[in-house]
Amino acid sequence: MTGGEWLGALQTALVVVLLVLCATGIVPVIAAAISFLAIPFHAFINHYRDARPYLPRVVVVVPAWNEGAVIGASIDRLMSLEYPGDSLRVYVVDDASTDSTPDVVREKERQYRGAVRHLRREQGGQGKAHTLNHGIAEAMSDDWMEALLIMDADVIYSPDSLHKMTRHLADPSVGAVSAYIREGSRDKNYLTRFIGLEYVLSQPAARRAQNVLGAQACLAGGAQLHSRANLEALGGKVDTSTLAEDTITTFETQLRGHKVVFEPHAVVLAEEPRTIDALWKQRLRWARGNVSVTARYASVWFRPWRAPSLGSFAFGVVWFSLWLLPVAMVLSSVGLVGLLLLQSPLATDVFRVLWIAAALTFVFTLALGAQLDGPLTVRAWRELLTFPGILSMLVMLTALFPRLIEVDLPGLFGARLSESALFWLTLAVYVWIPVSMLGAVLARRLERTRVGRVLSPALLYLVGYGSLLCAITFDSYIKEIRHADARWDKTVKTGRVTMS
Amino acid sequence: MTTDAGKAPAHVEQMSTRRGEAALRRDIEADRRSEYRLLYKTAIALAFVAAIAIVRQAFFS
Repeated sequence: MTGGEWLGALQTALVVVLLVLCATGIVPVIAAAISFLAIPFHAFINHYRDARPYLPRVVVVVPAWNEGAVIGASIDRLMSLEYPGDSLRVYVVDDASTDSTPDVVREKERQYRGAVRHLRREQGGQGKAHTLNHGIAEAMSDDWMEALLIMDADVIYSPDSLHKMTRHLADPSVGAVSAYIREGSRDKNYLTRFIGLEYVLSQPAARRAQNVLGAQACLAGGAQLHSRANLEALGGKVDTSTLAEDTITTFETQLRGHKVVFEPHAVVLAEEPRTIDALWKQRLRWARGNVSVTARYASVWFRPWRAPSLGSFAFGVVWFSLWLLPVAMVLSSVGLVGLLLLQSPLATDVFRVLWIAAALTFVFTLALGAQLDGPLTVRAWRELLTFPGILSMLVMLTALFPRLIEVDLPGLFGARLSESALFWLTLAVYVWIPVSMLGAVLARRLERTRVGRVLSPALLYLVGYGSLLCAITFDSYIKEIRHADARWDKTVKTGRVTMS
Repeated sequence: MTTDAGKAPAHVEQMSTRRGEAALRRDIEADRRSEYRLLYKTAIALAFVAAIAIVRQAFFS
């Protein structure tokens, strides 16, 4: 081979590698599209045919650390659920609170004699899982309890939610049932509206799809109902070794042969973070927990013969697409930039395929998700329209309608893009995803400054809420690689949730 | 379950009776049927996608 031929072969090999990098970006898009296309099948593949009127004796375990502001109202609301009073008990596990929590709970003990119990842990601060285990052990210590509901102190259950969940436990093959956690702050801000939309997409949408696929990724921490048989199979406790006890419980339930069902009509309102910094801490905890889960179940992924539901190909793709989303996005950008710098004619075509697929999937998922919780999406219409980020939408428009962005739009101002301007514009578009994640990091930094109150939300509308979540997941990789201290940072709740 | 007045709400008293059980059955059936709405909601979402694809093909291809 001549030198020129070697160079040609090397260039071809490089183009192939870059195309593979680009292709990683399409995997999460396809996974999201398939997941959402599974949703309509929930009309036929659901658990309602095996559900029966069933009202077991339920113990509600409420972990509480300094929840004095909210715990009294929470107990009152639990006591007014549409559920037989003689079949409902509430155990508040007070994790060495230093506020008015013990006094409030003792008062409720007197008010609802026999139905409410105050369990005190004098050595607190070990985290939610330890607190839950204290309550679970107490509930398991006698035969009264037939089902156990784990909830957070601040959430509000809609009156019919508990009996909508228990009906699935009439089928003994079901080990646990989860509900739809809905953002329910009465004084919403831009971030809680974004979170509300995210919850619509991830719960009544994606978890319906998981019902269809036959495997649930995670029971909601604030709304998980377990049968006694399932808790006994789990050893009567939840995992305390990671920050992802909810996910571990979900996986272990399914690995022991019990089904996990998501009930979209059981609605539970929760208070979510109002600042990027608080959201970052909460989600970093979740993301680092998912890193542990991914490693712990390494022998299960893509091995349906070991675990028919969790080991299925479809579930593996969905799990890894979310977990590795930032990596896929960055690799895809690297591939595109590489093709551009090699002056490969494929660059433009690959960019269009990737971003048109992303744009159409975004439109489909948002249009379907928006209909699954109409009232919430009506209130969050601004966040719905800008969910991918205004600048990301411009990138999508560039892929969908290139002439419009590159020729017609500058033409309106009498301008015409030069070759070099077009190159720099193209480069900017190709590196947009990693840049948008940096934009989300900047939004968090700005939030701490005086001007940040205005600039930070504006920046998030520009870069997109998804970029923020990707940046947090990326941070979780870094923290895990560095073995950074993993600790339980409780999200501060102030009782802002309302039923109306 | 007792309220402040020490009396169980009517809907709770009905819950464990046969009448309550019938209501629970109706509730399950209503929720099962409501899942069929996912079909037209998906069709609407796909219509948005189709509209964008048509506009692109018709005016910008």
